[in-house]
Amino acid sequence: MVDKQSNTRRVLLTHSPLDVSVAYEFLRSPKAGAIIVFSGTTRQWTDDRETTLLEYESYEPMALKVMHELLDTASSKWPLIKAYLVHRLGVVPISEASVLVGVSTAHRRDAYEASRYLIDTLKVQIPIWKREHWADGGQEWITGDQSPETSSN
Amino acid sequence: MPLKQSEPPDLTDKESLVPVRIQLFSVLRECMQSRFIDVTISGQMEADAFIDAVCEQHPRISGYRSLMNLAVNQTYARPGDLVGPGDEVALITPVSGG
Repeated sequence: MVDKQSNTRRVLLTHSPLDVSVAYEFLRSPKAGAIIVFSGTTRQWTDDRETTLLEYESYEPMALKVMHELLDTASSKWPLIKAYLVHRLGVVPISEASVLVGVSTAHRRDAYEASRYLIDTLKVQIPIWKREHWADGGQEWITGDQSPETSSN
Repeated sequence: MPLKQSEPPDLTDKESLVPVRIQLFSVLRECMQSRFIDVTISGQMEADAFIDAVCEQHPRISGYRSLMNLAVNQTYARPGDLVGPGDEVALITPVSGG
């Protein structure tokens, strides 16, 4: 079980650049046989339309609460040794990471399944929104495809 | 974290109207050009009716009605969940983090 206030869980919102090696170092453990760090990054091209940057806004206290709830759920489903969940806010330039999702587990299957669950659920549940800035000068707030689940509490 | 500092003075008066402050983000914040709007209600309401009341009192964002969900005290509300004075309330459109 990855506890809320311990060195086995890191949950953070930050305006600073994200560093995969920091996540990796945090997740290392003698008990781990597998470490996965997923990073979601700003993509320059969506079909033939060019993005110049993304900008993220958050309902911060609720976002942190939801992040902890996601880790509580993941911990109950998979034997996590450590977990790392960090989202960047504000401007995220091309090719830089907006989110890092990491877990360490004894075996790789649990690491793959838990990290996949965490990023997929985060994208539907966490109250964070992105604004896409296009090379043609346009910009728009992106609305997700799916409303958040209400049954998590 | 209640946003209101005190309860309305006369709780026995069913007709007394009280303001509830609502936090806005992304498209809704931009539409209203404000991080907050207030809605005036007479007491606790179901979330769905509460959103309808917001749209009636702030027609400018009513075009987003079909995208709106409510977070009450930092939890996503179901349509029938109660919301009222003293609650921390935010209007949530489908999120796009990650």
